This record gives sequence, structure tokens and C-alpha cells, in this order.
Amino acid sequence: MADRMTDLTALPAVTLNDWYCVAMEVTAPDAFDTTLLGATFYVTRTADGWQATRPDGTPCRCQTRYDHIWLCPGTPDRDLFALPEADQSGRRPVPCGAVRVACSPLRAVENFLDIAHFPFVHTGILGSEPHTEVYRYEVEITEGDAEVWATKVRFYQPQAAKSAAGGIETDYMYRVPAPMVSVLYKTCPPRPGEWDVIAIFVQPLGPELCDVWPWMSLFDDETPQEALIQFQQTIFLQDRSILENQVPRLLPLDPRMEVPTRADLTSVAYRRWLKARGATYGATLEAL
Amino acid sequence: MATLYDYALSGNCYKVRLLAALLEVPLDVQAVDFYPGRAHLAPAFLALNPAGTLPVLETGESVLTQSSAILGWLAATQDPTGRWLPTDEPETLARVLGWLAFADRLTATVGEARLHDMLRKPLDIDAARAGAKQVLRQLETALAERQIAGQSFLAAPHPTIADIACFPYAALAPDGGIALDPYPAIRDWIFAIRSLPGFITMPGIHALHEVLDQP
Amino acid sequence: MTDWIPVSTATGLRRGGVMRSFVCGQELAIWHSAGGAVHAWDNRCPHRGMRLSHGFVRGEQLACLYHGWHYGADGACTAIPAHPDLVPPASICVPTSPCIEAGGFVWVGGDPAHPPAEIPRLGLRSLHVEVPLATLRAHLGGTPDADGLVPFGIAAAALQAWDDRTTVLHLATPPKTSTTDRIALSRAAEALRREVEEWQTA
Ligand SMILES: N[C@@H](CCC(=O)N[C@@H](CS)C(=O)NCC(=O)O)C(=O)O
Ligand code: FES
Ligand SMILES: [Fe+2]
Repeated sequence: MADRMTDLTALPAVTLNDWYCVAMEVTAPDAFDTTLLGATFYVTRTADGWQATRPDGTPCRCQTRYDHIWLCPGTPDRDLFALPEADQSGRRPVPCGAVRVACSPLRAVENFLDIAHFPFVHTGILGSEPHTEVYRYEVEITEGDAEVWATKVRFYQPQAAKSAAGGIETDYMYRVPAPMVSVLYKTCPPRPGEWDVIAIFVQPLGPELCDVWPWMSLFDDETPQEALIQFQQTIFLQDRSILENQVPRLLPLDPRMEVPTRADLTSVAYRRWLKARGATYGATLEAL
Repeated sequence: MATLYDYALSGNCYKVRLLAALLEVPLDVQAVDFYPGRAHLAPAFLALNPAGTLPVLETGESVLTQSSAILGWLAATQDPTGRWLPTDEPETLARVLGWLAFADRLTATVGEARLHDMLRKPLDIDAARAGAKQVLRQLETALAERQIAGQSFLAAPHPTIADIACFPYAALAPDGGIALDPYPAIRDWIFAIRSLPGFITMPGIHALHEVLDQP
Repeated sequence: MTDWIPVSTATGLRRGGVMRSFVCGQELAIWHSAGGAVHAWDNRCPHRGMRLSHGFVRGEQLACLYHGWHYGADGACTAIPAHPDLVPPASICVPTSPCIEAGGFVWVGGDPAHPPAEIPRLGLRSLHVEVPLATLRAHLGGTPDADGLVPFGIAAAALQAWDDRTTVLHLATPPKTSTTDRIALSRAAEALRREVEEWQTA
């Protein structure tokens, strides 16, 4: 796919000038090729930090944040999104590596925003029948069309986290700070009043192929790191077999193509927000 | 209690967890960071298993490696019925052992394709898929003939460790970009195994939703 | 000659089972209800596009694996688990195709007023053969009957074009055929597949 080199300049500025996760810091080799938006970038570690070049050899910007390396294929027109919780003391960062999925990067984000699938896809962990109801929650697009937020989301979960002992009603907030990033905040069993943070950073290899980098920031001093990573990998790999079987692979932005209900308010807002900002890489605008 | 060194996404580790669950044998499960940490190649793990493979079972008396060997140990020591490893029926036993060898061919083809597609392991994916087709066709033929003879499982009228050894990587083939459409007998057999009392899932193998547990 | 396309033997899709198939290039979910009815639907859930062939059968309904939406025999949505009290609007509906079981096979897409002949047969197996339908038909020889079936030994062979390069060979035998003969036929079909696939690559 990267062999048939994309003409990066043909991409919309909103896509080209954004930041994308391309590697996990601790496991990244000193020099590597990585595919982004159909093109191959070359990333190296230097005395001054990570540096990257485009396929034509010109340099482009890199930064490390949230335990990962981020690359901007164009000219950054904004900062990487802020996640203040990452610096809060007492939290443990848990980067989980990447999982490759043959789906649109936008479908991966949308799935992450969805709770109605918990009883059927994450059965016995994040949901179970007959506790399938999605209660009314609130969705807003923040000032200046900056971010999508869903709040007051509540769901019954048999084992909400590695640290959860039994079934509980879990509170969630969801946030889309960039088209290919999604962050959720959920009730933290050992620390009432605080939120565990779980995110996915999606690296678009092409419009229908992505590497998903899950990352967590948790209040949990007990569970071994390996077990936390595998809990997250288990959940995400359950989603993978769904994501690879959605038709079409591209995310439809024409509202006539798929039928949402009230439980899908976040997804509906996400699709509208993408369309409004022209972030259509990985989307289809036409009806089938 | 035996300790299983485990990786949640490994089909070979799942074989051990699955048989233990079906036999209602509790295991102390220790997660090993196979990916992204490559902890199976770190000195601490190599001291336990110099081959650097998962799963490993510490029984208290010995350290067992190779999923088929561990299935054999579990069946021999934890199954009072003797059905999972029928040692008193030489013909059946021989068939079971044949399938345990076959299971490693599934790992080497389907399992590799899955590691490539899912965790980005560099390898010759066309060769892995071509190999997978040969192996899955053989499994399909065997199961189709069992069906014709009125049987649902590989080696006996009831499930044995042969089924447990072959089940995971057959069922996980779609994770490696290998569709199971051409294999209707495998499809029925997967359903028969998923229907066993005490069956547990792993990512890529969904829970059976056909029957509602609760009203 | 009818327009019915074979998609399975009658025993190849267990009651309560669902599978994917292709008919004339269209992707379908074929399912078999607990009561024994067979259905052929577009393989796409109207909600978020999930393939319905990954779903699960509950009685006379097919449910989608992703969010558990249920659909009744006519394809209309009957339940949305996220909203247990909601009566789904009639507009949420999966397009369906005619599907029947007759003569030992499951058929899709023909005129229900003219079903294939009801000859008692027992499904043997279905094999995917990686050659185009015309190639396999030529190798099998024989004269197709009114339903397109050709003899394969004592069995009846029904051919389905999966796509341009793969054909499914569905086989069914007379009901009283012995197990030994049925296994011999299964092996003969494997031999035929090897031969025709080798011929194709040569
Ligand atoms: N034949 C062995 C194979 C085990 C195996 O390949 N395990 C994988 C994980 S599923 C592993 O540990 N691989 C290590 C490596 O390939 O370096 C068994 O069945 O236990
Ligand atoms: S996609 Fe089928 S129920 Fe949601
Ligand atoms: Fe999920």
C-alpha cells in the first residue's frame, strides 16, 4: 500500500497537518520506517530527540508525548491535544503496543466511543445481558468545534477493570480531541472520585488499514503491569473482529447509510464533526 | 495449584486455560508480556524455559513446556474419567497423538498469519496463508468424514485433548485474514466445542449468545 | 431450468446456524432457524454495517453480534437491546431474498412459485474448488437436470459460483446410501478437486 506512494500534497490540510502516533517510545528501534496516510516516513533517534523525514527526504516534525512518538506529516497547525491527567501524580502509565486492524481509522475511533456493544462483544467483562440498556447521556461539541465530548454516560459492568471485584454501574466520559484519537474517563474502583483514563491513538496506514495504540493512565498500585496490558489487549482484540467485518470498511458520513438510535449520539456527533472539519480521510460521503 | 505462564492473546496458552476450565481445575495465571514487552525472551523467563516459548506450566514438581504436553499432563492428572486422554484405548490414543502433532502445523501456518496481520510480525504472509489452506483443508476433510460417520469430535465420540489442541488456531484463522467460509465441517465442530459446559472464550472467539443465561 | 442457486446442502447448515455466501456477486447471510426455516439476507446490519453472518440465531430471529439488534423472519428489526422499551420503527429492515430447502440442498434467489424438485436426498458435503464454475462443470460432465444438478457417481452435484475464480461443489446422496459409500464419494470429490485445480494451474 505504501509502495503505491500517496501524493501527500493531495490530502486535505486538516489531515496533513495533524499529529499521528507512530511508535511506542520504549520499544521503538533507533531507526525505523513507518507508514502513515499511505506514505513511508523514516524516523531516527538523534541526540536532539526523534527526527523524521518524508518520502521525498524533506524533514518533518516529531515529538514524544504520552509514552509514544508523534509525527506531523505536514506543517503542524495546532499543538498535540492536551491530556493533563497524564502528569497527575499517583497515576501509572500503561502503553500497550500496537494492534493492526483492517478497518478505517475512523471506524476504530467510533467503536471506542460506543458502549452499546459491551454485552455482546465484551461479554462478562464490560457488559452482559440482560443489562443492555444505554441510559440517556449528554453530548456536546466544545467551543470552536474543538472536541467532541459525551458526559453522564452510565453502564452496568460485570468486571469494569482489572481492579474491580464484581459487577458495578460504571460512569464514563468520552472525548475526541483529534479525528484519530479517542479518550475515555471511567470510574476508578480503588479511588472513588478519580477517573481512570484509557485512550486509543490510531495511526492511519491507509484509509482502510490502521495500527491502534491503546494507552492507559490508571490509579492501580496492585495489578502487575503485564496483567493490565493484557486486560486492555483482550478488550481491544475482541473489538478487532468486529471492526474487520463492518461493511463498508470506510466510515459512512452520509446519514442515510446507517441507522443510529439515541444510544449512538456520540457516534452521530463524531460523524458530523468530522464532516464539518473536512476530516474525511477514511470516510465515504456517498451512499452505497 | 499449578502456575500457568500465560499470554492472553496466545492460542497455545488458551488451549491450557480452556482444558483447565472444562476440567474445573483452577490455575494460578501469571501474565507474561509477550507483546509489546518481549518478556518471553528476557533472562528471567529464559531461566524458566530456555526455549523462550509460552505456555509454561509449573506443576510444583516440574516445569512443563509445549501446549500439547501440558494438555497431556492436565488430562492424565486432573481428569478422573480418563476421557480427555483415553490411554486404555490404543486406537483412540494413537488418533489423539496424531492430532496433537497436527496442531503444531496449525500454529506454524494459521498462527503465524495471525501474528503477522495482528501484531505485525515480519514473515512471508503468502507462504503462511498457502500453508494454512492445506492444513485447514485436511482438518475439514477429517471432520467431514467424522460427520458422515455421525461423529462430532476428532478422535472419539466425545471431545478429547485432540479437539482442544486443534480448536484455537482453526477458530482464530479470520484474525490472520483467512476466511473459514470454505470449511463447513470445521464450522460445526467449532460450534460443538463452544457449546461444551464450562467453555471459556479468548479474544477472536466470541461467547455463545444463542442461548440466554438469564431470563 | 429455474433461477435457484444452491448455497448449501440441507444438512450443511445446522439448525440455529448462520453462514456467509455469495450469489451472483451479492454477499448474503444464510441462516437456519430453530424451527427449521432457512433465510437469505443481505449480509449487512442496517445499524452500523456489521456482517450479519457473524450474528447468532435465537429461535426464529437472527441477532447481530455487534449490538445485538434482533430481526424477525421478514427481516424487520424486532428489538434493540440498548433501548429495551423501544418498539423499533418498521423502516429498520434487512433486505431479504427467497430461500428454500428442497431436494437435499438449500437454494436462493428463484421464484418461490417454482421450487426445485422435491427428491429425497441426504447432504454429503460442500467443497470450495478454486476454479471458475464453467471449468468445474466441464470436468464433471453429465447433463444438468431441470434444477441444474449433475450426477457425481450415485450423488447429485449442485454448483455455486462463489466468485469469478471459486466454485462450491455441493453434494447429496440418496437417503439410504451406506456410510462407507458416502465416505468413498467424499474422497472422490477431493480427488476431483485436486485434479481440476492442478489442471487449472498447469
Ligand atoms: N509448540 C509450542 C509453540 C508455542 C509457541 O509458539 N508459543 C508462542 C506464543 S503463542 C511463543 O512463545 N513464541 C515465542 C517465539 O516464537 O519467540 C506449543 O504448542 O506450546
Ligand atoms: S451493527 Fe448490528 S446491531 Fe449494531
Ligand atoms: Fe469494544
